[in-house]
Amino acid sequence: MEELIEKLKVQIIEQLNLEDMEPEDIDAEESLFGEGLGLDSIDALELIVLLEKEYGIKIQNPKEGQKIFFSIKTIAEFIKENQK
Amino acid sequence: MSTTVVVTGIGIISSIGNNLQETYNSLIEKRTGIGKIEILETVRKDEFLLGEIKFTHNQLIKLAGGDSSNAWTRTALLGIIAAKQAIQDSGIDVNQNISLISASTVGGMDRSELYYKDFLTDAIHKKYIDTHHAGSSTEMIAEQCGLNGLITTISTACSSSLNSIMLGARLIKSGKTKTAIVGGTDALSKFTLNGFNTLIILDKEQCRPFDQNRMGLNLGEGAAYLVLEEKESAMASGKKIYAEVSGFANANDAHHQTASSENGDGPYLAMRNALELANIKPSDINYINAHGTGTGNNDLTEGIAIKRLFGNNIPLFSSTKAYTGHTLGAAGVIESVFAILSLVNKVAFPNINFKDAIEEVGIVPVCEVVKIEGIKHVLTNSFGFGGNDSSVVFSSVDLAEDKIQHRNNSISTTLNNPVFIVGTGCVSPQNTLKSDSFLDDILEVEDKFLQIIKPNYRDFIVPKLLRRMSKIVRMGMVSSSLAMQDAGVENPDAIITGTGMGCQVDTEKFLNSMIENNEGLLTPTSFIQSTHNTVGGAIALGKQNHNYNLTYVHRTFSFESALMDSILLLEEGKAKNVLLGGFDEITEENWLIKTKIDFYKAKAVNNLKVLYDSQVGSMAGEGSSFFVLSNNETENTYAKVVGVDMFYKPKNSEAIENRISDFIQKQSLSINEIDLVILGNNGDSKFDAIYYDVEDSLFSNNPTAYYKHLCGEYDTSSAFAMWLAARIIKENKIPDIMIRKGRSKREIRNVLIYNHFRNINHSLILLSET
Repeated sequence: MEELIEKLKVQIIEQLNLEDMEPEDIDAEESLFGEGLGLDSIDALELIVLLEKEYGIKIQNPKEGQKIFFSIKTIAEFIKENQK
Repeated sequence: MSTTVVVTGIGIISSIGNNLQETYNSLIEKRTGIGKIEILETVRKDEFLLGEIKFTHNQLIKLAGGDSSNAWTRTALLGIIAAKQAIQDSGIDVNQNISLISASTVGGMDRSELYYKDFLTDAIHKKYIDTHHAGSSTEMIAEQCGLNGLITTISTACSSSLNSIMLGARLIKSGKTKTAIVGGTDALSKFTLNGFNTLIILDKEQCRPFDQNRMGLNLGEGAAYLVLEEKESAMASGKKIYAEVSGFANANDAHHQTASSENGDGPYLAMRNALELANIKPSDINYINAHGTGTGNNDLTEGIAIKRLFGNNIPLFSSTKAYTGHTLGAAGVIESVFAILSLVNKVAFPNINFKDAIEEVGIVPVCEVVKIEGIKHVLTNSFGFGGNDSSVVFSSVDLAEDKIQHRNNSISTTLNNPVFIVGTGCVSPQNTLKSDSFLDDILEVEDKFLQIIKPNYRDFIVPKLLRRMSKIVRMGMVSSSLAMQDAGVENPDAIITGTGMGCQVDTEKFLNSMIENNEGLLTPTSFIQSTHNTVGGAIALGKQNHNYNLTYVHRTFSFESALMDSILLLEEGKAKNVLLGGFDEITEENWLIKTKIDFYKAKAVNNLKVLYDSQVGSMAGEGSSFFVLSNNETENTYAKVVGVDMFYKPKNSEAIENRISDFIQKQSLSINEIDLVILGNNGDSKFDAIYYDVEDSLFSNNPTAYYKHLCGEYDTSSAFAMWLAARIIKENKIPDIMIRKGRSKREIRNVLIYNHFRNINHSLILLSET
């Protein structure tokens, strides 16, 4: 799990072009949207593609994304559950 | 006396009809044009529905009456078919200096996406390279229709063609043109289909505008054009008059790059201001042709905005997107045609596929063909990315008669109102960021193309926003904030920009990714950012600016058109100050592609020696220059903008000389009074010859200068030239590096900029001392 979380941090920084951030700047349990990292709906769409590209997981309904993308940790858990 | 603008001709082609009659029949028979994909070659054929026009490329060439060996884009062909119908319908004489204002979002993308990889390698299909830019379809239309007046192109995403109607009407009202053909064209492309798919806003079934269970939009394609004329002369010549263009407005939502605000601020302002200009009350509107795309976000916020404006008396309204699909840049004018058909036939068209009202707003559109006796005013909406929102009111003409005097009060054209440059900001391949030096140290490089000196972006843009901004957006943000700072203007009354190629970096990124991954695994950011009005939208968003916001995209007419619009807006008294900018960016791929058609030099060259380089083509460059223009002189005033002119494909050198002389004369000046002529020489000797000619003939006694060795060749480089001219006048000093011949001994009062692109698009800008 820890390994996956670290990997996700790097991938998210790259996918979203978060130039100023280092993996250690992101708390795995911190919320990614709103108050926390301040991501928005376009980032959510980018993350959907990230999951498909890197982990082969397709999210059909973007509304599902809200829960899954709450934090790095929730994404990692979702990947664990859904990866074949 | 105020002028009333009327529609005297209509041409239209979309998935519901190849002409006006077929279109009307489909509308009243509730016949949709949306169906299975048959024409567009895409891997998503069985996944989505489209509003396709069921003609192949070759069939369209025949219909448009074109020569099959030419490089036609589908976008241009649709435009030609519709524009020819409009001209025929109106019966205007095309030789009468008629303006053509067109609109498109993706221009020639339908061909570019087929041949892009070939452009980069063997370039077998290189004839399509120069049909990519959005102005290309406009030029093909002008040529096929034999038009010889002003031509320009607007691109503000999905509101584009409502904005071209608006500009045409304003040009007629101001007396700058008598007749204008206005509209837009957009063909379906894999680029847009996949782009909208990344946003997950495409409905896989027939779209359901304003329905509680709507799942998104269907894309469509089409073109439509209106002939606009001054009412008196249209009546005098006994023309059929469809409607009056009585009100129009553009406002910015300044909320989000793609989504509308919760309160529908932009849509509300656009509708309200359009009604205000028409001098009518909300209760006077008999029918609204809504934008109603069928996405969760649009229909909700449009509904909210409609409720805000109309209260409990919401007029009959419907979205016709379920007929045609969303035709993007053409949607505004296609739906204007529907609005006019509604007015003329006294009916409201049904919102097909509607079942249940959206819970949050509870408004119910018209679902059957409804007769409206005494219909007088109809409203149509188009909203686009970058928060770009427009509304137009069409009114029946007999009624217009008695309202005439009131109606046009809000546009009073005080001609010759002086326009001052009161602030500037410039990002270029030279050190132009600071105002305390003026080309004191010159950048000399030996390279394939000239690139900007990167500012420290973090000084101007917060990192969070920076992450999505490509080079062009960044330089636009920096130079615009410098200009506003310089002018001491917090928030301008309007933001008007010009860009020839728009956001190249993002367009290439999305296109390459789409081709390489066979339309799979695409992400939205580069698609969203690839729209031409991204910079204008980003400035509005940053400043929370809800005002008029337009982007012109017609090669080397782009900046000039933006300047023309700015002057017009200030003359109309619609703005006290305008933020005006011109920008383009160069990429390795764009440079490479354009070396294949000899536009750019294929080998590295020393920029300062570019005029003596023997390779064909010019040295490519880039940059962004912004200005704050104002009606009022300030302590910081640089110069007065005296005039701007554009002309397309002059017949010969005599025609060029005549046009330049006439332009100078029109500003009540003589050639001798021009203290400096800044010429666009770029080292492409075949075309530089035109500059040498005017230098030897017209301007044999005037000092001349050049500038493209400093910034390279790009479509909006004349904005850089205007920045130079403004500084030259303010400081009364011509940097040595620019001088070609003759050193002015007297004070520099009048500076003329003459630029042309390969003898196709010629332009003149004149600045004077205040």
